[in-house]
Amino acid sequence: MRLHHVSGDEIVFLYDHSQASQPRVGDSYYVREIGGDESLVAQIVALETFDYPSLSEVLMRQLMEASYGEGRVQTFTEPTNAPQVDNLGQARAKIRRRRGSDGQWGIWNGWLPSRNVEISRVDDEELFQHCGLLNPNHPLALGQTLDGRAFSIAGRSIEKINIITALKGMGKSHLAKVLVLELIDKKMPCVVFDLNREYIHLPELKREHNQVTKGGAIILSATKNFRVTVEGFGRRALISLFRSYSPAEPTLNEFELRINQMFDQLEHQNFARRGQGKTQQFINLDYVRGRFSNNISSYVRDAVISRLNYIEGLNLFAKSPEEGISFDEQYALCEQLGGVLVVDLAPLNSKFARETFVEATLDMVERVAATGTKLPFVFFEEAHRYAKGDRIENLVTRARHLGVTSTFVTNMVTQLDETVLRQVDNLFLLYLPHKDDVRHVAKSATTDEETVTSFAQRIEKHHAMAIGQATGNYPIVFKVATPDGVDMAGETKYAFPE
Amino acid sequence: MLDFQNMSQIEQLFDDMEPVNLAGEAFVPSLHAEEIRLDDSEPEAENEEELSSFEDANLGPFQTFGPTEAALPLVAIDAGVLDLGMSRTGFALAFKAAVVEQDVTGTHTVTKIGPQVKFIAPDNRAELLRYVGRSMSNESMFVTMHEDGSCTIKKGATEPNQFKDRIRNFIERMLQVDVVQQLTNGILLVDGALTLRTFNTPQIFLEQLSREAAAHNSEIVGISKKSRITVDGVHIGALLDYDAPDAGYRKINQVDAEGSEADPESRNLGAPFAVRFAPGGFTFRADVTRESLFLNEEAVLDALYANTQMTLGYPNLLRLAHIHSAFTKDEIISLQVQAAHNYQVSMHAPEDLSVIFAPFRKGLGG
Repeated sequence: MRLHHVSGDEIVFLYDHSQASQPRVGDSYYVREIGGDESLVAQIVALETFDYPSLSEVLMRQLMEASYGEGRVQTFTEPTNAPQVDNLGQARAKIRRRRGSDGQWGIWNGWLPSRNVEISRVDDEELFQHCGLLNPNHPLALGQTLDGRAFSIAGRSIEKINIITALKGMGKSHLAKVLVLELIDKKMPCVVFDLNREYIHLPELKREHNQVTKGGAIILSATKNFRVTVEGFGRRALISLFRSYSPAEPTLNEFELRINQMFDQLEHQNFARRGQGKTQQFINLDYVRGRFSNNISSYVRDAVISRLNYIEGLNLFAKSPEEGISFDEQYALCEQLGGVLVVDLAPLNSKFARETFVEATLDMVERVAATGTKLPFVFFEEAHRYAKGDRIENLVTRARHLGVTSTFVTNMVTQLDETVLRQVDNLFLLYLPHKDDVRHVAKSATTDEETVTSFAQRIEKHHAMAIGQATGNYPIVFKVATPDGVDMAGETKYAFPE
Repeated sequence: MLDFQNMSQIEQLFDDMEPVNLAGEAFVPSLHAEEIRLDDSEPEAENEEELSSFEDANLGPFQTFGPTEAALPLVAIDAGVLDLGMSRTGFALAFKAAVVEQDVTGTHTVTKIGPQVKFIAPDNRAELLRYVGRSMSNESMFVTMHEDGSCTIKKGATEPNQFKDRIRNFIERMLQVDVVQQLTNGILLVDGALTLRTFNTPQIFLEQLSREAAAHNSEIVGISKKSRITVDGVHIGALLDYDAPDAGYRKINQVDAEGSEADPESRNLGAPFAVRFAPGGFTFRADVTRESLFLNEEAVLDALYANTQMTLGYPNLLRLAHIHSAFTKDEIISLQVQAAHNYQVSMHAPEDLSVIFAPFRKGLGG
């Protein structure tokens, strides 16, 4: 390779296609001034054809020759070993770092070498060493580099806010599943909001009574095996749900008053029962209705009851103790040896029901984050389909306080609020060709727009670029792992047989 | 498609007679864009004697091209040469040629020769010129032969430009021979005049070429893009200025320079014309032979006009031959690298004298 020119933070190299070793998008190179001991660290972001001065002339002549027809052009005494300019390619790279005379990488301060440079590949070992990826703590194995070296990130580096985005079918859910499985392997509890039954084939969590023998997935299918109890739903969620039916102010005030009283009593009683080793009290909507039978205006009572009937129609709440799965208990199981609560949202038909259900579940997540022994890793598949923007924003902005890690897996990244993007700690970018999406995701604080644009449109299927805390803010392209013996496919129905 | 029997002679020039001991010499390529000319060699130059013979010539009447229904095969040949760079004692040249054939159905066929590189150094240049002369029937045209079998270059024939002209001319002539040996009832178009007494081609060779064409009932037409001739003080490009702006021609009737009755054809293989191939187009010098059954040279020109497309008033077949024999800059760079590699010379950056006068670059080719 040869240095062609440097413009801003961009370097253009020329390379020969006929050589065995060619640059790839994602590869990093040292550009060292000959005789000096400082280098630039530049990463290839795009490969292009080389536009040389007589290109038009050459192409015109080739087209002319083709137009004479087959067998109408003969050539004599053609040189056999003349190098061909046609073989030259152009590699665009971004300057990422500067390597000092002590060999350490630092922020690029504008220093440039002359044109008299030596260009050499930065191998994976060296790249990982400088990005803190050589021996990460609590490693999460995500795949392998373009050169086939195992690629793992530190467990802690993935915490808080992450985005996985790609065009549909490019493997973003696959990458999310790899992350989930790695977190389970590290005995971490996860919660996945699964809209399309993508995660239901993950290996099941094994247990004997309340003792987990192998970490894995617990499927919580909304309205089916996962109906929430009122006490599990929580007072704030219940009041919030009631409010969504637009009650008049006196009705809302009365509802809030009596529900708060009910939960206060409940907590008091449950505290006493725990001390006596008794089971917790079960509350369903009938019990809630009963709280509004006495000492209440008939107008207010009717208004409350009618809204509770609507809420019952959502089919979210358990009617008997047998129907209700306690989220807290399931989460506790996942805490033991690692596990994932797959919240299957597919049975919920309306967006309102999904939003309500997810909002309540998120309240539960926040609660277990505060009371549990391990902090949850929450994965949102296409969050815009079931979570209100302000609810997500609330979760994201308080992420550091709550300790909840949120990973948004989406092919409609434009639906993610800019507030979320600005908080992103890690971006996992797969193939994303649409410019609007690219421009939007570039608003994340992890890297510049040109890098996102270049990588997003040049990444192979099942490859991803990771950038953020996890990679020392250095973009790294890797092939996503394919875990052995795990059915990574979702559940898609097809009309045509294979 | 034409068969090129003489290609082996061209190939031999590139395969044999190589200089020795160039390894390690500095080689300064012509790298600057302003130094690179895509085809920097003129066809056979007109000599002073010839030029003076035209001065007193008279012009025939202006004639527009006449109709003809005869479909003829046409062939155009062009060759290019380029200076690639210099070593301490020698220099490297690149050559390229093209033959474009148009058969009676109008179908075109192209033969490309090269590009090829030749390094000319003190130890091979005499041998090269000897070979070129011998290939064109006169071994001692450029060299003096000695009794011991060795040869030395004749005085005044050692300039790089002369090598360029001679080798380029040699390639073109070898191709012309191949063409006239196969072209029957057709016209061979060449770039340049058909002057007999030239510095680069033995007269005997040209006469043989003419006889070969006659044997196949074919003609040769030479078109000069950059003729220096004047008739009665008027440059060739302006000779048809006062005629109707139609496509047509005037024959230039030469008389001997000293007014004698010497045969003007002894200086030229054909008869010279001032020709305009398109209405309002450029005027060129065209030398036309009459070796075939055509009634006269004018009939040859009419047949040429009727059988070839004109592009901006220039025969398209010659234009195509020029296109396919011209060097592109990428080829030049490739050939320079190839020359350095093949001859094991060490490539050095050229001295950029323009810095002395920068930003005033006049006189440095800028």
